[in-house]
Amino acid sequence: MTVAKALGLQVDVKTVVTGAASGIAVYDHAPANPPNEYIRLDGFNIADVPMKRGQVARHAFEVHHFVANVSGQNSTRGQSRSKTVLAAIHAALMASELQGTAPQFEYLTVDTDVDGTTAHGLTRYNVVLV
Amino acid sequence: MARIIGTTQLQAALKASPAVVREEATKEVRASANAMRARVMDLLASAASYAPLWHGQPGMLNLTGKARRNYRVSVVKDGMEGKVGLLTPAAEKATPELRWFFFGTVHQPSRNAHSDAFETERGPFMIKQEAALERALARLG
Repeated sequence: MTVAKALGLQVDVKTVVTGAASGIAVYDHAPANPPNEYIRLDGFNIADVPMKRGQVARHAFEVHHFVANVSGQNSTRGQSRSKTVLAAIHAALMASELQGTAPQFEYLTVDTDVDGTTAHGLTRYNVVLV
Repeated sequence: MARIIGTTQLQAALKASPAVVREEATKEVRASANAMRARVMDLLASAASYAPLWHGQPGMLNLTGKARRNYRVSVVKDGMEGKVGLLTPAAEKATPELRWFFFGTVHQPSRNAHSDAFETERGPFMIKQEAALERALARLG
């Protein structure tokens, strides 16, 4: 496994995401008092590719975007806002190289969060590293 | 959600192959689908350690039996395709908490046991299919 590259990959992902979504806080954990809008990087996972060698690994990760439906603000809110932000991040990630390798897109989903009003967008990617 | 690229071509080739090859391949599809579900159930059982709630506030640490019952395995297309997860709209509607558990919420991290289990089973599945083909060829003599 290419476990040693996991930290570098997380740093690369954070750099790209921070650049693509300027002005929005980026966390690697669920904050105790979350701001109305924030991005979270998590779901990091490593799996061998192929099993026989154990020298190549697929590193998966997720980019979450949360935006609360706060009244009295001029900016776009809800799922539309989430899709716009994730589209910008997606374009930046797909144009970048993470640890020297282009990421692969897996899936995107946007839905309301557990409170029924906050929009929660999620994209998942993977990078195969040697 | 996640898929193995090339499954359509593989399914077509297997359907056109002798019955003994399909029989061996189907066994592994079923075994891998069941293994993936078992892996997800294990991860759900260890949810608290799987991704801790770092901020110390209340969060989802366990799932109900209803969620586990709705998370199912189905083998379709003459045994050529295994499906694992919430397989019907009714199952999705009955267990929204499973989505919050896998994808996280604004207050808790994602514990994507479904995708992680798929990643874990993907490699062994390929190796088992190679072994199944060898078994089928041995049976054909």
